[in-house]
Amino acid sequence: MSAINTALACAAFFFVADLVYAIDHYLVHHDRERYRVTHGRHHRRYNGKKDAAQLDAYELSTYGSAAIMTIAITSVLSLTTGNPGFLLGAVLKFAHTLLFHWYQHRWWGEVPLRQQHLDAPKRSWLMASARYHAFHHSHPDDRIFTYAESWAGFDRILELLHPWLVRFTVDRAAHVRTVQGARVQAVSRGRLGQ
Amino acid sequence: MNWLGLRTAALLGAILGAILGGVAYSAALARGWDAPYLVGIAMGFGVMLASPDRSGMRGLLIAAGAVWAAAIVQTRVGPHASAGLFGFHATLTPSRTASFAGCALVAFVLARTSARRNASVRAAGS
Repeated sequence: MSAINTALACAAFFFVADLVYAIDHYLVHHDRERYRVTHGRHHRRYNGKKDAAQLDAYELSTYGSAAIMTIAITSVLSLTTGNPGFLLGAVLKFAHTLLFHWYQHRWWGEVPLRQQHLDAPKRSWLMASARYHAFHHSHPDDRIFTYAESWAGFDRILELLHPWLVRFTVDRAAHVRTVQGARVQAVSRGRLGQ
Repeated sequence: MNWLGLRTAALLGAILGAILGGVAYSAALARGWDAPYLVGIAMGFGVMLASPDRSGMRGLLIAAGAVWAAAIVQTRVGPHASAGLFGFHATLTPSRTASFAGCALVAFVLARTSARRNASVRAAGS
């Protein structure tokens, strides 16, 4: 029973951490200033020719910081509940993030990623593959969301929630303007048609 | 170094606070006063005084550290010393849970801020 509890706590934390990663990834893609200063660097790097290590200092700092935070919080959860599964889940998530990125960076080579013309992934509800994530690097703002690291279903849910969720992002004004602009254009086209 | 707003000075402040808070909590436990929040207060103040900027992430880290420091102290002194860290969860009565939650809360509130006037919020990636 205790092993089952540990496994359940581990899986539950892994799932929650992956959800938080997916939401934060969505948010940083809807915050131009934060994207420019932080995450955009990651995309710029992988869209050029390979000229450096797989993970640079910024990436290690980002993944390391997330790991330190989750390990700190889950260690207290494990201490106070007596269930080591929470801490194990955080460690596993960190290992998964590192391995996932190392693996998917194999698309990073002499030919820049965009010139490899990767096909757009299907709108899957299954696991997010490394290729799914590689496509995200070359097409960061594609209409098919590819923010998830483990379960692609998070992206499908984000796509469904996007019209409502975007209002809570930093770039909400730009998105609302875009939607309103599209409406105005549609109305104008309708009038011209009449 | 400035991961999560935890600059070297803030880290030293946290370590010094943990030592002073640990000594104070040990002394309190020896007199029958279970006050883990003393560790949270000392660590929080140590970080607040040493930090030039504000960071919520740093507050969370110090809160977790304060709970661990207080739990380690009670494995050495007081009525729960025999429980050890693995048996810590079994010693948590509702009032002790509240005391440890208070320890985390006070550490978070103090460590996320800075004693300096007009301290800026740490920007992500800096």
